[in-house]
Amino acid sequence: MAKFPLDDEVVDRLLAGALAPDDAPPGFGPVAALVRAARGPAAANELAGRAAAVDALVRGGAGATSPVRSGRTSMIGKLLGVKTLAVAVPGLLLTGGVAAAATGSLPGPAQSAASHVLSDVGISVPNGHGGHSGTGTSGSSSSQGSANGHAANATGPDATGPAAYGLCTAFKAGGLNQHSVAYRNLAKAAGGASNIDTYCASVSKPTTTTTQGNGTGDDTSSDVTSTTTAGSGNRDHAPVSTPPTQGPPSSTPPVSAPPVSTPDSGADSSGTGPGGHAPSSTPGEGAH
Amino acid sequence: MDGGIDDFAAVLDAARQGDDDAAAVLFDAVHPGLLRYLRWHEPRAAEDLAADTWLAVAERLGGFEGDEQAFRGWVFAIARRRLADHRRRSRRRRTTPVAPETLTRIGGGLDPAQVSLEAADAQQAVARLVGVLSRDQAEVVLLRVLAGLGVEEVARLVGKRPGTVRVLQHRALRRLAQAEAARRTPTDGARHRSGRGRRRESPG
Repeated sequence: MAKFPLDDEVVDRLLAGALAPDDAPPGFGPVAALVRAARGPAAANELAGRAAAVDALVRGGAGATSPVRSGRTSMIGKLLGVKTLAVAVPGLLLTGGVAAAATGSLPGPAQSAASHVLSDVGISVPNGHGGHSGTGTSGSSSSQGSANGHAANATGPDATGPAAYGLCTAFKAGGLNQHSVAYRNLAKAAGGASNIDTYCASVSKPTTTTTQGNGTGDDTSSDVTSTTTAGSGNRDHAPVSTPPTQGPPSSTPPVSAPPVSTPDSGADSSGTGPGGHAPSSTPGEGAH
Repeated sequence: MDGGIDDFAAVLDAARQGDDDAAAVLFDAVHPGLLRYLRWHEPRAAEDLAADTWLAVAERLGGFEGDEQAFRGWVFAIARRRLADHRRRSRRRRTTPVAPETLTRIGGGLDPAQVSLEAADAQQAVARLVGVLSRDQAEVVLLRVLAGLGVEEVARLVGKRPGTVRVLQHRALRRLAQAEAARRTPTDGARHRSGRGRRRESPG
């Protein structure tokens, strides 16, 4: 087999995709083409987590819990410090993310996702499209099942714990639905609805993420709107088909929360990777 | 995945100060290659591993010092550690033995013999690029091509001498040229094109 000549400079250019196939040494045209194809522009399914990653980068990672490693999670959920979008409620409340959500300052898909999820517990924040969740048209055809709350989320966020900060923020932003469990919990913690302002004045932003103590852990529902609140949300995106469980995002893995069954979060289309049909072997290790 | 980042130092600085657009430049320059690299190694966990990587990068961005090459090397070093951790955990969890024939399948679950000649998709191109290579050759090529790293940085990442990396990449390229030539000759039993005798290059 003929040997093809290659010097370091040509190799560098070839591997950098800087060599057009027609300019490559004889025999290396196809290789040059493959390199360029491998370095081609990002496809849509490769950018699912972009907004969340950019947001994390500018925040210096602050406000995000360590990624929870059990089960599959969506990239956007991971970067928001939550296990899945559906458990974003406790996560957002813990990390002060609802503050950002309440002012509509999360990046696009995250804002929209946050508004969907928070509406499940009666917290209304801008959905990033000029509307608020919970105040938009109800009965959207993409709602899976009706928002007639079965009790999966009956206890709601714990307003005496670290979630208080997030609840207070939502309250102050006018986004806390007064019929919601979240509001009732806050009122109870404050010793009455009229005391909420005073109570919230004493609540400070959590500096480190702590384990939220109100996990009921018994929710196995896969109904996206399983909530006792009235907010049906503005489901203009594909619904997040995961339960709003109480599984708390913890800063120290492993997490005791039930494994989340889900994966196809339409909102951020993390998908199951195109190579996902690979057998269980560790790829690459057998090829020597 | 273009060529490098213009004025990397300024972009890095701006990102650290909270400039979204600058952060996006960093992300856009690195992420596609990162994801494709991870998808080759662990198709199902790739998205999670990439997210873990960016989270770690975000947390430590303030302390990072270096030029663009150093940045890319740093990001991929983090990614490779996450990958190794993931594999250790997966091995511990595996309770059923893996059939021997699956171990010879090329990484990414894509058998290069079945990848179309036109390789329209970047991930398919990756599979075809490294599927015929040894593990060491593949890693060098992946890091050079997808991470945009030079020989010195690759050497640092894989723990080999630069001279060794150069030998590996040379051998890899020769092997690739042979494999691609074999695909195109009508005498190749597995895949051949009906003797038109004309080379068709993959889209660039």
